[in-house]
Amino acid sequence: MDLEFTAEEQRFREEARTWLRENLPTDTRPPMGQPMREFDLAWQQTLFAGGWAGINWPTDYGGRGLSDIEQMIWYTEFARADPPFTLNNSCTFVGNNHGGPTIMASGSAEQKAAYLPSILRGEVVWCQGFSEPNAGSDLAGLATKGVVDGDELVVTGQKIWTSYADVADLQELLVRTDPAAPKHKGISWVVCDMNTPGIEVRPIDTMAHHTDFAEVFYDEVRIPLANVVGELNDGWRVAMSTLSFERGTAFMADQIELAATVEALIEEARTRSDARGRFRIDDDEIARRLATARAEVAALRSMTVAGISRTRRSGMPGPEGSLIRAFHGELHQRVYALGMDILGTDALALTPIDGDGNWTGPYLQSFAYTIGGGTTDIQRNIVGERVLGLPRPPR
Amino acid sequence: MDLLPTDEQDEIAGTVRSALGAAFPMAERDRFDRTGPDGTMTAVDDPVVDDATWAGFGELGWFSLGLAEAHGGVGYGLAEEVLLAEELGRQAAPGPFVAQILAARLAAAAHLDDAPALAAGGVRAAWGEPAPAGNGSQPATVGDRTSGEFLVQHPAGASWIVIAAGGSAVLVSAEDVEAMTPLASLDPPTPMHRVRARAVIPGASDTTGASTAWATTLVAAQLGGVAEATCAMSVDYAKERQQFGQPIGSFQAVKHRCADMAGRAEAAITQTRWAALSVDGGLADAGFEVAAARVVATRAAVSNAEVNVQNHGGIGFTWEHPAHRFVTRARLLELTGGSLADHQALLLDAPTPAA
Repeated sequence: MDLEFTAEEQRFREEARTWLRENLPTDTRPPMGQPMREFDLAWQQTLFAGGWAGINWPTDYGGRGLSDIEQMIWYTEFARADPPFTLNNSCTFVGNNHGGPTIMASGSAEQKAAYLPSILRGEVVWCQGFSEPNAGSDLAGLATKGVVDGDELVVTGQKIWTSYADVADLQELLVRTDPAAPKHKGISWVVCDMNTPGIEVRPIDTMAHHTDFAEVFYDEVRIPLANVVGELNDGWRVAMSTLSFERGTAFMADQIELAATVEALIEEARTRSDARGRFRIDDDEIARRLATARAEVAALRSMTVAGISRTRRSGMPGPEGSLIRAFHGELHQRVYALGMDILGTDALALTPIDGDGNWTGPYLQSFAYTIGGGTTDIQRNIVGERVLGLPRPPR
Repeated sequence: MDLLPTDEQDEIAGTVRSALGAAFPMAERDRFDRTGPDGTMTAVDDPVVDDATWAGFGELGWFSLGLAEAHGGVGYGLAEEVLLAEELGRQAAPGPFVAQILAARLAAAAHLDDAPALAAGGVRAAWGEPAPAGNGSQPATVGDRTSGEFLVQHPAGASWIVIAAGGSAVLVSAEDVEAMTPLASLDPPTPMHRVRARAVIPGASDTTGASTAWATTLVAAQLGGVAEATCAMSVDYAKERQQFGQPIGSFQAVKHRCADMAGRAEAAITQTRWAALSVDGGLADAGFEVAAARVVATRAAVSNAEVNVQNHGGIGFTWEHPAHRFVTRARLLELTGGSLADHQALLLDAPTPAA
């Protein structure tokens, strides 16, 4: 056990801090559509040019080949630089944290060469096609079918809850390729070009009144069989490795930003008074909830570092990631709910879902944190069954 | 940067675990109780852990693991003491361990004659917690003149009382306080005596906050141990207890409670280890990290101990089952070295950490 950074890690931190000071954009991120895509890709290109893309990706794929510790240092420095946008709130998220890592883990040499460099260089936007109207928590019950026809898969069906579908070039898509097999054994993980004929994207407005969310319809969409990552019908295993990446370190940026959010909230409470002229922080209940939030974000960081330590020893992120993911999702919601309680009547004014000093939009958006990427109920099942070894429910 | 124990640290924890298990078998815990049925008090004048056993722990170095070798200690750090304290919590072990450790540190720093004997466990220490009498009475003062009423844990056989409050830690002679009334203790193996001090000059003191931070971290580690042990107890039971033809752990209602227990325990344990390493490294944010550990660990231990009773159903409500021992231990620790509210206030006052 130690909290020391190596000399190299220290140097990395200083380089990151200097670079961020000189290169961090000052513009506001456009909330949606092509302007958003251009903004996010431009930032990814700036990162790549500066050597800050794919910090923990192998050098063979254009990354820096560094560890999760450097990745964490980067996120920390990014949050400390007071950026005008949230790191993970980007249409580059799926490529960097899902599609890319999955292809690294399960893709062929050709697939790695075809897909990985363009992610880091900021040339493509990826989206996810996992959930369906009737396959949410029961993801393996998905029904979108992929029929092999020569050297192509013909895909017909529907996906839902796809962020950034309207601006994406590529999609990580799960389809049922063997309807006769047991449900976990008949799924394939395939890269779908979003410009293929037969794809229709319909936007979904969210409770935060934000429309970067969509459902996607497929009508005999022809995808080359060469786009199947891993073996045909082995897509469940491939998908689970993707999700363990997400539950492992992909949300580290959010977690670090949450610490900064709590500090900002404490400042709000110190400077904002209630109708009787009393500072909000002098309300004992508010003060105690703020203290608890401070303690919990510190603990979240400690859990994340313990997770990195564990992954370093085992080589792969384990199911413990779900423990952190569930804790994080609920903590994120508690922090923004506390924000609402501190604001007083200002809580009745809607703000954007992102950016400094905005609380009410992010509060509405925070409901996604215990649903997306597997609901907290599913995360609890994973913790119960795979970390604690409790029996599965009777089928 | 790494938050998992090294092999050597695992070995320390393993030794502590088996020695505690041998000294205090869970099936024989009634032997160490000083609160009997219906609030009766038993053998209040005898130390809960006999002198030979206590000195045996001293011989193993348990009271001076983190004390510098120059001060007669083993020369490890707070991180290793935290691993010891986690085990104390996991087994809800009887005995004033944190008092003895703090007394040895305070005495060594002040070069008291008793310092080596406190580290060895031959001279014994008790823990004093400020306990205002209520009705508008003066709050206790802890410092060069220590006054007020205190609840002393494990008073029998103790020559010294450690009191830690508001950043100050003092070591006062047991002869300098007036014993008042013994208490039927909520935590059965932790007998208590209410005492009064009138402007007592301590034998040793530390007003820098270092000793209180040390003690707070050890309390947090015990709370983390309680959180982890109660989670493990629930998980074991949920795998084995059958209802409706199934192990109850297959039902989401039980499974999800266990998963939440695991999350709280992990938060408590990892944050407390982080805090200990911050103290050992002399980091600027150590005060913040220690308070954060105490807040998270307190909530984790109390919640998990309570939920553990529920997970066991009827058997969990019996005296025979040890689940209740973790509830009362969690409540005792919650009020040892300050309350949850005290530590929340400290945490909110700490400057923003450097990250």
